[in-house]
Amino acid sequence: MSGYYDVPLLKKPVWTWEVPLYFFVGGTAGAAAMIGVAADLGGAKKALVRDARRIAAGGAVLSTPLLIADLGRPERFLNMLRVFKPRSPMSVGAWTLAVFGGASTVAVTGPVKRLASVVSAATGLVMATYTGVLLGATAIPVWKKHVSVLPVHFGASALASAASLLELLGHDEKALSELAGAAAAIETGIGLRIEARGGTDVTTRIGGMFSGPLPLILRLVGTRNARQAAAASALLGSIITRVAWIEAGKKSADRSRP
Amino acid sequence: MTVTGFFTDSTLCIGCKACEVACKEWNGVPDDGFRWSGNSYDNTLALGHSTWRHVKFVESEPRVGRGGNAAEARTWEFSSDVCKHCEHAGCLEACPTGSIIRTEFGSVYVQPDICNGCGYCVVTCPFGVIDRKPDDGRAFKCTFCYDRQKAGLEPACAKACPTGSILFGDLDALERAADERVAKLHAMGMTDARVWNPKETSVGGTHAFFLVRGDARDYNLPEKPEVPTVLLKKAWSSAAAGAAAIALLSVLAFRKR
Repeated sequence: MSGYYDVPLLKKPVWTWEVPLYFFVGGTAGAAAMIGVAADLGGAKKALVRDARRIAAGGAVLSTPLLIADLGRPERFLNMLRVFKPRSPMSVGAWTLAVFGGASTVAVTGPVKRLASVVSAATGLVMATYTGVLLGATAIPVWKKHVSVLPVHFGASALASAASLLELLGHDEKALSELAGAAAAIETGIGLRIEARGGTDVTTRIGGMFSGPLPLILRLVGTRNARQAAAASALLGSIITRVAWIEAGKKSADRSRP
Repeated sequence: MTVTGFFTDSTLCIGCKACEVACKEWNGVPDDGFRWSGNSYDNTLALGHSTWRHVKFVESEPRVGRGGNAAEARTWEFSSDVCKHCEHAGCLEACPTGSIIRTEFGSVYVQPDICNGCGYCVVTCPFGVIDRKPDDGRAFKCTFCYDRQKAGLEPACAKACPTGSILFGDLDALERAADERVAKLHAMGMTDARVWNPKETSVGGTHAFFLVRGDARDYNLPEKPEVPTVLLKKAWSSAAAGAAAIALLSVLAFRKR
């Protein structure tokens, strides 16, 4: 037998609840910004466009304190913008959040709302997906193993939660249900692929069930109540999924051997 | 300025931990918690935020000729571990603040006045070296005694090592010395002696490398470490696909019908 007294090779991620919650809030906000622009382009109801932009701005405003709270030295958060390093997903994320936050706020309050909403959507697409890059491009075995799927996974999860949140706010639009349904279908496929490749556990599986098959079936039922239940399920699944992946990373580091 | 390195020869280590003590004294590094592990004389177990040099005590079933013990005794070997100061360092690449830098000596150094404790270096080190210190908030690891090197001195651990197990000097010269040492040990019959330095991996070699006997994994050294930046292409391709899907689906869902 090789190894050193069964001591783990790697250090555990030090991140606490703020990080998975940020993944959820930031991702939802990012996808909402894209939905807002698409709805505006397609001539959807003004109230829907407005609410999508508000979710984007609100999510951006919430994201910043979550990220600051997770730092070991919160008072030094501005050091995140000291340099720009394209090879560091954390650096790309910090800069993206800075631009996304500014643009999303202007898209709600400012004089050039439409232009700002386009910038917000463009950076929002990064917000929705880069967190998968952040986890995937590390030394943690279970994250690294699923590196090709995590960004798409988190992106689909973000799309589902943004569309679902808008539905729960009273926008019973066919387009939103279609979007959330498509996201649930993607999540189902991704869940199967993750299962096939292994390495995850019951928490990721529960998150997957609430994100994929359950809302997908509910949306096929087609009643308004079923749609609302699907939306709630997708939001819950999205939160559980982010928490589950962070926890899976901690367990994976503990199990790592040379 | 020449690129410097550490060559740590486990066949010369006597497990005295003078390196650990010298490191703590010079750098003001606090204790590691005084937890009893039951694993030989090693209560520290791994490198961490308050352990920048770490002596491993590799005990195993008796193997004749190992560690100079009698055949019936358990084999007992020692090796002083340290940050590897990778040629392609995961922590340095990942650090979003630019706190972690490459010094003029080729070492990897965390600037304590810049680090904001984001914790990303912790998950991008393929050797589990760097860690965030809970009561401080910042990340810490071996500095390669940057301050001493600046003043023309050798690192504290190398200076304190009484057996010459920890050698410090010009990296190229040390690599040659290591090869010569392996050849000498082989001639003496220690044919399982080898240099651990992952040059053929994406890490691209390390500035702190080790002479070990047999399976390097017994010293908690991985055979095929990987710098996480090699995964960026796969990861960002997936992100691009995800972003395109969100944009396309959104526009399609809201298209005028």
